Amino acid sequence: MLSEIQARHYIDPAVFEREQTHVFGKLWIFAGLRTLLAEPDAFLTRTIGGIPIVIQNLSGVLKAFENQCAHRQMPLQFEEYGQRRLACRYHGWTYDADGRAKTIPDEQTLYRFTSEERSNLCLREFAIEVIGNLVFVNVHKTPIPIEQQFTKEFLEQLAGISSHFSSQAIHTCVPARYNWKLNFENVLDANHVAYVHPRTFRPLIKNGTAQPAEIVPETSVDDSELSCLSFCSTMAMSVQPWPWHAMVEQYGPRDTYHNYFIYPNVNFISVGGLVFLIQQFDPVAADRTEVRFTLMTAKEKQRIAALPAILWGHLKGEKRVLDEDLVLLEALQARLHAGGRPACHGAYETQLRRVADVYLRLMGDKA
Amino acid sequence: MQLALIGCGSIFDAAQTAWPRLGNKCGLDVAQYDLQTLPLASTDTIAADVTAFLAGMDPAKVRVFAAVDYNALNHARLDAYACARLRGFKCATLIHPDAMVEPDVQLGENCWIGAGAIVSSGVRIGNNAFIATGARIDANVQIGNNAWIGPGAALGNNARIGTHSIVGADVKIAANVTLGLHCVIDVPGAYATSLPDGTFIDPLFAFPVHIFGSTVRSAG
Repeated sequence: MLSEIQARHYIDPAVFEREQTHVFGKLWIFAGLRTLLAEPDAFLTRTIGGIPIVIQNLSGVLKAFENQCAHRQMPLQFEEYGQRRLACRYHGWTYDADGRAKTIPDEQTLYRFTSEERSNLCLREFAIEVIGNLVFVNVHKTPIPIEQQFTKEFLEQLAGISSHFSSQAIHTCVPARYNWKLNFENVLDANHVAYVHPRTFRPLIKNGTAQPAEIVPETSVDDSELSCLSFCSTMAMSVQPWPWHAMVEQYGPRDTYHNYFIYPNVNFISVGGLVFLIQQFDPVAADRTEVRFTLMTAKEKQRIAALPAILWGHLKGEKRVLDEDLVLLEALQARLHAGGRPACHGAYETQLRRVADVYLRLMGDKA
Repeated sequence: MQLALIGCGSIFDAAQTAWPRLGNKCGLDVAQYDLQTLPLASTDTIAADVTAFLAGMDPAKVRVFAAVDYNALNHARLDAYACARLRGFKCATLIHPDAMVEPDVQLGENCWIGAGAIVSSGVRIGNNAFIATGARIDANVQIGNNAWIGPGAALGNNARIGTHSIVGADVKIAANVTLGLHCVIDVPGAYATSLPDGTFIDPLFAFPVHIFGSTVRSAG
């Protein structure tokens, strides 16, 4: 069946801009890890729906604000993760736990705000939900309930597996020259593993194939539920045992590969419940994505001296797998053109068709 | 007396090749030492391999040198070194006869100074730190335990290199720069900015990689 998504959805800057409001400005978007925000004034910064966001631990409560000083828009926090009070380094303004300007140096002599102006000096606040150790933000003025985007069962699964995260994570961003949707579609497509990752990933799969046992083609995916786009699958995997495995609280049975799809742009996997990788495909432009990699082990039962080396080694392995996808997806993106044919989906690609259906309705391109 | 040379990789090969000349510059009276080697196929079971090799040896008569490159942020070499120390063996520090080391340099044990390396006055090097071929260490640099300074690397005056850090081949660290614990710089070039703990600069990644969360210090 022909895909309803056209080439323009991958190449048109106007479509990209529309996605910022209609998809990323409307849905719950994964923002970061609760484990890295445990300390007072710990923070993370992101850009979601084109809006710079800071999420900060303020007296034990996580708050999400627009990361711009109410004075002259300087970002309050610069680093991706850090620990620093909520204050602007440009003119020294500080903010309280509700995002209101708390202290303004030389306020009376230099600024002389009216009381009304002063009362309006506060940061824009956004909705935040914490599922296990996963922090989600919604920048819409009236966000949908998170249970509308993810089923209760899926939220419980996320809470359960993420509770096994270690408090230390290794993180980086990988620039990619393709549209973010190509990467999300790629991770949904288990069939590519045998051809794109024959030596890195495929040998780890126990029964030799990543395909589901049964493929039931659906002729119509119209009116697919938003919540059906986020789900978990598992498959048997050969996990080489290492001594450090006994030092962590493994999640679930050994030799299982857990694969979570968190719409719109996160793929979260776990190798044997021992190592967890969150891949997020952040849209930067119509033809550019920032792939955010965050990897951690399961929670330690005892001190692991070589933990940084373990994290570094696993991250490099995952990057090599991504690089195999990158080559193909960048070539695909480079040759997309407005007059090109849409994709033709086979029986096993029903989920891709559901994703397209929901996406087009979110974008207003389909009733 | 015996020197038990254990390991794999470039330093193991260099030490084995240079052995008779090696002993002359590093305090060992080579005439009194027999060289026993344990070449390892991999470092996967290094602690067990070292234990088996040293079993039955008399710590009073054997010095050990763990010669493993920077595998696993130098943790593999640390495993071998720690295993030997826990069994009561003393570890030797080896200096290649073609290295230049100022007399006041402080060296820990199980260190390696490679051919053509220059180590200037006032330098302090911790235990189990390796300085590879042609590296240049300027005055008053401090290098932490279990570090690796790669071939042709240069550390400017007063630079500080944290425990388990790796300065790769042809990397130039400017004067007064500090690399935290568990840092890796493996892209050749000049670096004038200090790096926090758990920062990795590697050709595989376009941007630096960071470890966040519990301090790296608590893990190493």
